[in-house]
Amino acid sequence: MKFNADKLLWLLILLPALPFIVNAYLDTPYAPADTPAGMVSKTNWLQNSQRDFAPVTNRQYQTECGSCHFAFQPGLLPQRSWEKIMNELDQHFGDNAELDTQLQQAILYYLTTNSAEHSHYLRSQNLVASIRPDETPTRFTDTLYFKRKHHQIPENQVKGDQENGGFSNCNTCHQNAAQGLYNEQDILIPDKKPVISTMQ
Amino acid sequence: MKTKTVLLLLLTCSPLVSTAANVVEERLQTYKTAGAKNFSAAAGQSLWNRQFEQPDGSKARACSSCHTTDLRQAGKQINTGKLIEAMSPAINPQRLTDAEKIEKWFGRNCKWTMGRECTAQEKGDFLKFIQSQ
Repeated sequence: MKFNADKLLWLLILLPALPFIVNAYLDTPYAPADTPAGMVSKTNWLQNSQRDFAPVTNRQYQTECGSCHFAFQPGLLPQRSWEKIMNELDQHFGDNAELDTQLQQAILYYLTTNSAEHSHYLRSQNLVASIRPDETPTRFTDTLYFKRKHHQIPENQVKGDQENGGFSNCNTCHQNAAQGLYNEQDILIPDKKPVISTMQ
Repeated sequence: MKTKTVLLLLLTCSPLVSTAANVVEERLQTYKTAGAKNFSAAAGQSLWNRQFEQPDGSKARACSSCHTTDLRQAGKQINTGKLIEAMSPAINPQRLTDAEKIEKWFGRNCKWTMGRECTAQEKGDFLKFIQSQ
């Protein structure tokens, strides 16, 4: 290949633009719901196959909601729950989490189109099945599915734990929760004792 | 061709010059047109640490409840326990560099802590205080 100034110029233009092009691609609404976010590779088929819930793929949701709490995967609640939560942001579990209308609508769209009943992940499907049609839970921890999965954990060990945020901070114990991985091998409770043996 | 290359390089680097000082100055000017004047870091600090009683009976809150009284330290959201990075621009250069973000958080946090919006004067005092840390 001949090296000349024109080629160098193109390289100079394209190289800094590359991360933006990749970001734009990951943010497009056409990306499938299970597109891994951020550090997780899109082509990591091994990790993809182990995922329990589709990871968060929307940067606005991650930034706006994830700055105060663990960014719960949209597949952890049904559509009607996300609608209720997003329409009561001024009273968000005792906090003010208001967004401007445009942002609120964008995040609402992301959450409802990727909610549990729209996810092909088995756990999301089972979760939906555990919720009565006349119920609209606003906390994942209130669902029968969650309670069934955590009934062996002594409540007082986690629930009263103000320092670690109780059961709502998934990633305190589930080390790879942010990537949608909740399997038992990844659990480490805050006093550093693995809980695998008590989970059998 | 050489000058063209240099120009291109300069253009690619130019967005990096927006600094915290510029953004704060622009905000303070906006607050001045809204009627505020004589911004003071000391006033900002005293408001930062003032406890506000909550009408719903929950524990009294202040800015420092989550951000702590030392802005050079990381804080913790009191409800969720999530880490909040240091507010001081000296420690965390990302702080005070985005006007939109500043206003968003004033909007949420003033209402949640004080039960009302912050005035232009209070916002200016806060910015002065945060900037000085």
